[in-house]
Amino acid sequence: MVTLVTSDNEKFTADKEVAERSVLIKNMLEDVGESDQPIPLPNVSSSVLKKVLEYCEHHRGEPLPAADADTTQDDTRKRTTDISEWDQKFITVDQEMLFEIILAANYLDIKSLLDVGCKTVANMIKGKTPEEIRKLFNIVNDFTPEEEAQIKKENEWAEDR
Amino acid sequence: MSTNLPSELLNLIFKFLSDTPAALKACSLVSRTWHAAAAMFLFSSLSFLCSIDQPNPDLVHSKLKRQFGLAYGILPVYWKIFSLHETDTHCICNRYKDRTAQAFYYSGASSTHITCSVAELTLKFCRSSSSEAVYRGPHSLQLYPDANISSLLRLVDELSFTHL
Repeated sequence: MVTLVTSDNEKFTADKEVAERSVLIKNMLEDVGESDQPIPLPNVSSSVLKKVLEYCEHHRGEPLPAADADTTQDDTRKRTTDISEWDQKFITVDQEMLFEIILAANYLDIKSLLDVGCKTVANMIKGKTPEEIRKLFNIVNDFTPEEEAQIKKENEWAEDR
Repeated sequence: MSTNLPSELLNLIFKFLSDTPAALKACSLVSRTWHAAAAMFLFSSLSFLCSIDQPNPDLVHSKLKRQFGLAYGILPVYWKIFSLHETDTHCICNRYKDRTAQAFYYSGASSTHITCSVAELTLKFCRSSSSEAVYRGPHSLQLYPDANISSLLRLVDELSFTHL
């Protein structure tokens, strides 16, 4: 078992196999060797770690992506925004939690969870106008009308794939 | 209640939109931060038409000839760096008539937003053997009727200085 300590000082215990789905934790465990020392995770709060461990528990035993995965495979995977049913249900959370999960997955280096989170946001963006996107994510339009016109002009050079 | 999307995540998210340019274009118009991130994906690969066949010597005055000499001398150097697509039988000029290197250069769009983002530049050279005179029809879009052949070379220079 591995003990993890969150930013709000809560202790979680998890099977080594589950915790090691995080490359960060795996590397930390390898560095300290056989030890019962708790692992501090100062960038992750308890509510988020609870969700992350739920994800790791569900996906335990699945093969981890190779560190230097083939780039062409990587590209194909990036472009599919399909999410499995369980993951879909898991990631149906409020927006703040969604962003926190993505940040935690990025920090803990859990590639598959990071992808699920980013795909979810990508799917939220698809088909929306700039104004709808701003509203969805509470973003202020800081362009001048001239800048907007220039960007529209430049965008015509982007290739349609 | 919505929360601000941390901007460091934009790159990770836009990867999944790289096959939907329409969504990336919408993202680029959201805010300055979003634009900077989206431009990297929108313009990561660009292709331009910049055919250079041998011009008809009778129709080319001597100043242009010198510029051709220059272009033929310089471009092979870049061919090693940039991917070169040739077509032997089908003329691609019409299909790419809105995507010529000169049009890009003169549109005022060759701003740093675009040039800084290009990771892969494809120069398309139409080598169609179509007998139409190069000064008429779709071939008139080719590079050499443009007296200012250096526009392409400047563009290539601009891009290569940014990336090579």
